[in-house]
Amino acid sequence: MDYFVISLLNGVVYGLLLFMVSSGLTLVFGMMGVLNFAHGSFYMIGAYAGYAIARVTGFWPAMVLAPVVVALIGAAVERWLLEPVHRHGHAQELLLTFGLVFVIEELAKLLFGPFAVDNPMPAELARPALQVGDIAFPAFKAFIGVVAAAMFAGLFALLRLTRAGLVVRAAVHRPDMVSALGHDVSRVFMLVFALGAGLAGLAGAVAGVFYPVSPNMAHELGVIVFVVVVVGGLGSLPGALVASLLIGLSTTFAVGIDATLGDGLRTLGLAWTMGGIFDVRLSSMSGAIPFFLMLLILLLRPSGLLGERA
Amino acid sequence: MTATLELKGVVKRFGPAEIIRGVDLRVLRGERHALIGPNGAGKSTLFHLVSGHLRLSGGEIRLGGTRLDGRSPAAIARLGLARSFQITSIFGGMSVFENLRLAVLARRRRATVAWRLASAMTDAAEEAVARAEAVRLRPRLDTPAADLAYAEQRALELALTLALDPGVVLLDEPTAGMSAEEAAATVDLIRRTTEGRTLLVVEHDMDIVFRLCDRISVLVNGRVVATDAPAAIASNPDVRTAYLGDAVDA
Amino acid sequence: MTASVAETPMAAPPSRSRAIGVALGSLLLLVLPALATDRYLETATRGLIASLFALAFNLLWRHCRLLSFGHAAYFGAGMFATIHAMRAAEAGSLDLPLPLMPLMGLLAGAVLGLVCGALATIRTGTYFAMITLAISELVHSFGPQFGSLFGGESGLSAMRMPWAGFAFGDARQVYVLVLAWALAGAAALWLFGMTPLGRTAFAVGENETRLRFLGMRTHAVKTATFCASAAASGLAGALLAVANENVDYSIFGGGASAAPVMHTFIGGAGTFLGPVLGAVLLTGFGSIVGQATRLWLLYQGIFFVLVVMLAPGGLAGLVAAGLRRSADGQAAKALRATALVLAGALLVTCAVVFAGETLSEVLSDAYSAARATTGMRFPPVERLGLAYSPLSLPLWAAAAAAFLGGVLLLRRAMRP
Repeated sequence: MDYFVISLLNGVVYGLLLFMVSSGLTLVFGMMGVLNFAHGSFYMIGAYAGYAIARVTGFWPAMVLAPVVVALIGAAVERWLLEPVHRHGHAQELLLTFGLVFVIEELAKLLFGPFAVDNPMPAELARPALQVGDIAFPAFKAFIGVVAAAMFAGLFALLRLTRAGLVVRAAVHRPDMVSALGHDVSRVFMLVFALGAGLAGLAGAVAGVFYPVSPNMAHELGVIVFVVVVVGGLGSLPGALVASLLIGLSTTFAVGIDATLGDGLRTLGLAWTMGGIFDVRLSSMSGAIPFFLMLLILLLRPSGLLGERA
Repeated sequence: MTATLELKGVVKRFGPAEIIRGVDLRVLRGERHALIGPNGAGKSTLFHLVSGHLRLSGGEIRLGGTRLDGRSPAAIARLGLARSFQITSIFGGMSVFENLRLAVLARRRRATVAWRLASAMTDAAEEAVARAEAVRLRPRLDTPAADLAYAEQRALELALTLALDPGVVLLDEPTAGMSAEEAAATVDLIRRTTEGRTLLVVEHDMDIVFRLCDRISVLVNGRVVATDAPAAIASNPDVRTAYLGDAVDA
Repeated sequence: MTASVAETPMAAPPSRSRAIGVALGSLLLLVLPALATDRYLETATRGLIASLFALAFNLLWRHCRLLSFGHAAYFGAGMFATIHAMRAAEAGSLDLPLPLMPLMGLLAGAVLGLVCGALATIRTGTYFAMITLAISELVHSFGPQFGSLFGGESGLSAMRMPWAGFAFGDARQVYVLVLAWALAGAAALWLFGMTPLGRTAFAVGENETRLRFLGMRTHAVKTATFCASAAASGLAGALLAVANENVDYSIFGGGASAAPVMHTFIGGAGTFLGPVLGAVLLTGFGSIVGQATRLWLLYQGIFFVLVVMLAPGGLAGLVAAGLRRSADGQAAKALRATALVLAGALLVTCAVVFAGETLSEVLSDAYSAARATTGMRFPPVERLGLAYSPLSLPLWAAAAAAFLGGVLLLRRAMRP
């Protein structure tokens, strides 16, 4: 039972982290029709920025400054790189962001070295936040969860309650209408892109407290985030939330299950020795679960859990 | 007279909005049947339902004795019902010849052959040329379809549809956007090339409808309010108030 | 009559300049073993494999307009299948001569491509791109799990067994074997485009909806094309397995999937041989420049981004535009554009290399040591045969000016 509660908390925290990154991706896609391959790279830049700034200002100011830096980088990318390619079509935009992934990864290696940097955790986050039975739930995870929940609330308020949010929501629905109403669409695009990048940067800065900050982190999380938006339905924020939590929970719980597929069959009375796939522990396959989930969704409901019918 | 294409109680809803509200329609074998109605009456939606582009919310559609509803567009096309599109839909990067050869090969079930070169299929090539000739596109055979003039693109669209040799042809506003002369030429073309086939046409231009068609159905607010010969439709008081009245006054 | 009209744009006899190019290229490939040293032959072998892989990738894009970001799965499947077959031959349990081993890779790529293609082509566009990426990640995540299949961290090795008097012990014989298969694969991909299936696949990319209303099951067409592309990728992987005699699961990672994408779009996706141009150029440069700097991947990425931004048709597109202009009697204009491109590229290269190498030097351990010994905060950088202060304002200003000026020149040259 204690194990269940802790796994639940861990899963929710991981899911919320996924949502912090995928929300920006799906927001940008919904509005601009552009899948930003480099979105995971913004997450990585956020982690490195958090690390680098914290060395100068200390930990807490860095958590505020890092997302701002990433948002500015995002705005620059949109204005100077993505915008000029827009007229060549979506495929060309996709290729551009695909290329950026490699440029940013190599830049990270150049500036910070090819391995994970030593990112010390502040003392106030290193202690347990709460105790469930014998198992402690660490403060840094609670911190990630709290930041993610606050971000979700803030994003929701921004989109639902402000005029800017109204314009953005309209732009997601009908970009042409927004320009007809006299808003500068390219400015709205740039701001939303910067917002999405900033959210990913915030997620990266926060995640860097616990996860190793290395040039690999962009790719590792980036691919899972793609899976999240496919499962949730591209362009759907609620879909991204549901899919993030689903994937966060399922992978977290699978890590704790030491049984194999063969064990399951044996308890059903199918007692013979099998090899290969039947002897692989479920826990070691937790990384594959999101992809299986995606293929399942693809077959059963191609537009995603909460996506609009194509 | 037997009905080739028959719609019974066809309903289409988009969320809460009911666009088609129980349409009954019988298109007789070999007739030229027009579907008219004011904008937003649901004419294009009805075409999409018949051709399999959209799924029905209720009712049934039969071609001969075969149920069409629930089938994919490809399956419906293979059953012998072909359609054209209101917004020209051709293969812009391919030549006129290739557009037509593709349709011919598709009809002959040879379009997925992978062990012969397409250029070796001379009979398909000859038919493609003949079909280009029939819509007066012979001189434009090697022109990429995207580079054709608008009326030529419409002719190619028609030829693509007819290359399937369909028993039933659905034409969605075949003269839309054409000048009067172009439209007249297109009507002649349609008359000539659809000889002996069953035709269902959506058309706005009343002149063309009266010249081309044997019978007319009037669609208003998702329902067929009348089906009759052109003269009877023109004098039908209900139709005049619902539809023609506006057109005449305007 | 039919003979003349049956010639379609893609099937048309190659224009004279292209025919000359293909003839010269083939000649070079054939005489290369007599001219080049082993090291260059090995690079050429890898160039051939990369070319075939890029052509296979571009089959999907050029016809169906489907962008796959996960082709490493099929390349890797071809590698592993071939290594397993070679090991079986070594153990005596499989009687297949080495020159036919690549067939195993072809088969493995085709089978995996059929399954994954049927899934991935349910969707098109952006969804398709993401699904292909996710499938290759899924395969990658299997890598560490199935030891007997993938050989774990260290991977699997096999030996090239002699056959019919050929020992396949030196780079020359391997090169000839790879060349034969690569040419056969490229020819098959070229012919695919001229079959009815290839033409129909092209129509999928043009207007999939219309094709459905012509009675075509487009999903089957896309799956078949995907399968052909995966089979050719598997063949390319098999050739690498034969050349390397070794494979491990890292081949399923993102880098191998990115290679054909970069090669194709740098070379030019719109022409059949464009991907070959990109593959040869980047493999060649990678082998030369990769020795001189550890920043080669960064430069390659920047090069890719610049090509995507400034020359959407790729290098082959530029060449084609130049040739067209010359043919139209605008040789002077073509020459001027070429000069602009070269000058712009030179300026941008100088600026990027200066910035990259200086940064790399300043952040290196050797520089930290120099700091300690000289006692200066920023001692001079010795790089590219020069010694200069890393904080030199004039140098950085010149680099910035060269970069901006170069980009402006390139943009100027691209304008019609």
